[in-house]
Amino acid sequence: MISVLNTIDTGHEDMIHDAELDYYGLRLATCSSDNSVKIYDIKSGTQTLAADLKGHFGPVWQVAWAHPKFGNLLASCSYDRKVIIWKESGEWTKLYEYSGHESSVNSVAWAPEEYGLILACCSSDGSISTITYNQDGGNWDVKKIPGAHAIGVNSISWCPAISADLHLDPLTNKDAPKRIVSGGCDNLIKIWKEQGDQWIEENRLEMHMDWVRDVAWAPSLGLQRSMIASCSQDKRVVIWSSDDNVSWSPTILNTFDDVIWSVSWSLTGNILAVSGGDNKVSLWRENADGQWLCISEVAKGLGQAPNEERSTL
Amino acid sequence: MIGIFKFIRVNFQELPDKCFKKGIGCVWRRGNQFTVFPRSQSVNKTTDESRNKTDDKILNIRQEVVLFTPILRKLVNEANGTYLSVQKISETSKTTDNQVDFLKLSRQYRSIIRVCIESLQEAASKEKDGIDKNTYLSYLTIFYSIECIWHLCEILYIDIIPGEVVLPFLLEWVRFHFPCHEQTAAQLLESCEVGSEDHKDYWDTVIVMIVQGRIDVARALLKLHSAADSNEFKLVDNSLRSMPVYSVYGGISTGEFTISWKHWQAECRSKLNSKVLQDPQLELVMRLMCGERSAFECVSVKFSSWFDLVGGWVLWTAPWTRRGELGAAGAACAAFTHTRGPLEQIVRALLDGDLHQVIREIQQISDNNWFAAHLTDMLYHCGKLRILDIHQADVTSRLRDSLILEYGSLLMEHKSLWSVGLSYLCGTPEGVRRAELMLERMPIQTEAKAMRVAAEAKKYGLLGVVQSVSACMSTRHLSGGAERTGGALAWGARARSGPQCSRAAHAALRAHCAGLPLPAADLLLTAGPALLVDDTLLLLGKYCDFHRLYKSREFRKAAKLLVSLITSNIAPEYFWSTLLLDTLPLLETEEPVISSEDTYDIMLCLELRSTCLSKEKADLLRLALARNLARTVLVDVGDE
Amino acid sequence: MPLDVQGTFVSQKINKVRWIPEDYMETKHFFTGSWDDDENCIKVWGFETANEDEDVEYPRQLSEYKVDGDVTEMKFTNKNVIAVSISNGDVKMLEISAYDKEAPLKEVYTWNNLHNYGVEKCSCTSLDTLEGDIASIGEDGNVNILNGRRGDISQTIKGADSCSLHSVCFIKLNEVITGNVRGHMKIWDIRSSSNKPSAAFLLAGDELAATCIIHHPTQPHIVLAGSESGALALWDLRMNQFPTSLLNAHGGGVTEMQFHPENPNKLLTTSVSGEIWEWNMDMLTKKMSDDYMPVDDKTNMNVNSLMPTLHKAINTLHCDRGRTLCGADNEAIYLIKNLRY
Repeated sequence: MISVLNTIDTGHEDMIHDAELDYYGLRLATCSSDNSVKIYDIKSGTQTLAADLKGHFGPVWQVAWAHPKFGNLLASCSYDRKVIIWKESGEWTKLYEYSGHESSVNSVAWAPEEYGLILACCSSDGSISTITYNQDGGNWDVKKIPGAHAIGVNSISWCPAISADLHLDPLTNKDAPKRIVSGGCDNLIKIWKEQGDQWIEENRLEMHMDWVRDVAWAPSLGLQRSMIASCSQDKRVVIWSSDDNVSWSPTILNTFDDVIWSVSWSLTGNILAVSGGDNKVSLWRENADGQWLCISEVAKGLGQAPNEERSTL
Repeated sequence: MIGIFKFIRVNFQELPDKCFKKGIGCVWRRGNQFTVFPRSQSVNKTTDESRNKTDDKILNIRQEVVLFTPILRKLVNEANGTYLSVQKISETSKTTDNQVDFLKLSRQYRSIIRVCIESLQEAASKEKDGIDKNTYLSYLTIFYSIECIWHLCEILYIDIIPGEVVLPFLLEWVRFHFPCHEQTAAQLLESCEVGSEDHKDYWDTVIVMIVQGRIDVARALLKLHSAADSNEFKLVDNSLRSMPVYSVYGGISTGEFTISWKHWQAECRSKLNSKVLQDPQLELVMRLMCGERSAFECVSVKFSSWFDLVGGWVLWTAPWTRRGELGAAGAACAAFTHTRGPLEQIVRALLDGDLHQVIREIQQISDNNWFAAHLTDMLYHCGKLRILDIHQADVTSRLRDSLILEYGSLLMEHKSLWSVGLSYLCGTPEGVRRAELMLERMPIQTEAKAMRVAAEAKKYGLLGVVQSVSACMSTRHLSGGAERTGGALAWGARARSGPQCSRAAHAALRAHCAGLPLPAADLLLTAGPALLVDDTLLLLGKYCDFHRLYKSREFRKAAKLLVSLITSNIAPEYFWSTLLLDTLPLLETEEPVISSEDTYDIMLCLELRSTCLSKEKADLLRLALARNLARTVLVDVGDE
Repeated sequence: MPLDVQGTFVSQKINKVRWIPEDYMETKHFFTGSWDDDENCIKVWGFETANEDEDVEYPRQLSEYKVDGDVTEMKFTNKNVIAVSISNGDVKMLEISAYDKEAPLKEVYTWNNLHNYGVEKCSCTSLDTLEGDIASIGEDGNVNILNGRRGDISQTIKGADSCSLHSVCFIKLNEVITGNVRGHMKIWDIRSSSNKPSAAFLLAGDELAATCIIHHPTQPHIVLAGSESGALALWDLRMNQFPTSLLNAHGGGVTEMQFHPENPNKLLTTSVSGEIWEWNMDMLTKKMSDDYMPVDDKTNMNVNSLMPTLHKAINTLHCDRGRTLCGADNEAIYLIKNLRY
């Protein structure tokens, strides 16, 4: 049985585009078409607005929390072509602003903490940037992948640092090559690998027949297997799996009734949440036979008497 | 398919209508919690719709967990101890046969369930609030079923049964879980009145005793009938008394027993056919003794379920049945009624020996899989579980692991029960990495908790967690300002993290440049080799030592150290001015303490980095250096 | 009679247990303080027999006092008043009625946010009491001396340590010893106003925390500290600053130590590794007076385990004559009877 723990009134004046929980699940950041980013403390059943960050001049598409060992950092990206990194030290302030894109920035994602403080972002201008904090100099270094996807890049996600490269010693896993997966308006999914000081296209995955809306690399469970989930305006969700991060094979999870906007893996990577235009969140899990099954659907009007299960015995 | 996928049922009446019109998004929290929010992909600032958006709500959703109620937490904790013992025994059982130990542990589980039932009964009887009382009562229903199934499972798979003849165990099971008319029987026997048949439940009681195999009680009750001395009663009593009972120590084989028992029943049947029995109830008793199907069907209405009859059916039709052969008895009894509750299904599957089905069914019991995980684990370690998937591949250990993982992950969500969850997760290969992911994300409020989490993580070899938790503690101190540098350094050192120590050391140096006294001197002066983890930290440590030497007026040593810090070139850019200006007082001591050679070195550094000092300060320093050179050129500072 | 162990599950991790002393008879009442739960509390319990003919006694909860954080330490200031340190930075003095143990605990004094990082909360990690005075320590590295009779703060040593403090002990009326997260021990003269320790030394070279400190009941110059590593260190404060012995004892951090109130040669210790041990300190304390060799092994120390090792940490113990209570992270308390002393 599932229940609603609590609800938060967001107070945003316009559409919400993204919400992200921090590392510990104690704070929620939301961003909206009203150009603002809001942070709520959601400890033990109560919630309070902790900060209202204003700095963007356009709808804010996505937010991302950094690993707490770097302090309380939040990145946000917006239609105003900017990425802002916010830092909390007493108050929330702008730590860094990146304006290296020529169009709307659609997605931001922090790299696995093992690699240091690195942010990746992608834009409708077709390019991807990585921004690396240099501790000694206290400055940020930018690398760019121009023309990553024609027309635009919609989503990016990092490969976990402890990944399928099992021939690498787990202790020296820092040497595992950094990888990013991206999805774009060219209906393609591309995998980028850092080589030397530049990013090269390692793979392109063709399956979708319309814009790819979201890609998500599954957290690694230390098994010799990598997984990426992708969703598209073609109403399909595809699971890509690989045992070497080089060759990938697709499985169609499902074809839905409507456009699918987002896919996200649970913390331990065993459940995939899929949400889209049909106002439903469905949860999926792979069974022992490698089939993907819907284990739950969160939607209106699906309610059942809460005590039903219990009364069966 | 492995039946671990239970549909999570959602009651979503509470979902506000308007706010989810445009789309929905989902973010995960730890474990089975997630947050749902109205998510829009498009920008439509101008429509009326968007102005009406004041009711936007974000919902935090979680699976309700009955195990987190205080009474059931006792069960969780106590069972964890037993679970860990099972793991330990199974380690050793690879070499020796430990069936007795497993049986002991299975009984331990059952006694834990019993204790739990008793506390639930007590709580239910004390509770005045109707809803809470009902909650307790529904928990009780769950745990009665669990107790009943576990017991039967133990008999069928874990217990040591001489000759495999299961009847006495089966009867015990029936009597224990479905006590029926037990009290009436006791009352009747106690009052010991001839003519007891006037009691409205007299015959029902007799029949139940016969079906449950309580022969002595049945005989005693029959003696209380006013016609007990009649021939027909004597006949039945005699038959009951002379029934052969199998005993492994009785010196006869099951074959011989079967022959003599069949002979005895044939005699009963002939007595029945001789129409001596006038009393219809007495006749019914005899028909039961003859194992007549119609008789059982006739009495089945007196029982709540068909499996109350199973013991009697075996007793009066085939008392030599071995434990693996109960399927037929189950099928026969199940045919008497049409009730098909989950408990019926599970018992049936158990009698059929279909453990896969049993496990699938018990996952539907809403106890958050406490039962499924522990029972499966027990059976798995006893070597009694073999589950094949549709391709006939053995997935037994996978099934066991997945249940343990689910259960462990669930406990990891709880503020206090995380350490219990951890001991389940770390018992499976896949669980270790999961444990790592979940441990790192556990909110930590105090250092005591951080230390405990680190200790637990270390116990399972999760050194990454120790590092990550320590690094986060260090960062937290660091963001608390310069006076918490000590904490930041101490936790940075615990993380054995160069970058972390470096950040803390930089913060300390910058604070000092800004005019604050050097922080964490007590730590730095006692840190020793821990300083070597990072260059900046080493600089900070040595610089702190320089201050100590200077304060204790050991100027020569202080000067030597300072010069080495300058010439080694490890200081960050912003610290150079402080470092260079620190030479000033040493250049102007009564006795020279900086040698001419060192003076030249400082001069060189000064000229290379003159930009970091203002012109006046640089000039002042140049002058002091020149003067020092002048006085050391003739009589240099010797080595000590 | 052999040792008799009886466990009771209480649905909370127990961080502290304390017998409530009685004047002329064996006490049946005790306090517990919980930690690491959504809601923590101090409870009063009484042992009761279920049936008259039965010998077994079960604890029954008599009262409950909720606190906002982990209970980190509980020590008596007199026989009815207990000082409690809490992880939200508070110190409280609570009184239990001598006549009615079921009556709610009465708050005598409360120092809110006594330990803090400015506006941010910080844990008050431990305290010690002596003749009505309380010495409290915190993650903020401060030491506070509280007057339990008047309810005021008689002194604060601000920044006594640049790191968090985790253990404290009164050696004399005017002297306390503190241990920090790195095993750095400092002795403070309370009368001095210099904010400088009168002595400082390291527990061990491993930079792990000093988790608890006690002194010998009859020879107060003998001080013992338990380490996060599970080691036990012993000092004779009259001699030098190096531990006179460092014993590799428990498999995990030492959580609490107590000399038996009736027999100063008997030491009891509990650990994160789930052990509760009794030590015969005879040899060690006798040796103290002469010059002696460091003992590096517990085997020649006469150590007994009082209970089979638990799978979870034992956080606390308290003994009263032949009966010892301990509380653990498996959300249970254990009563060990028939301890010989």
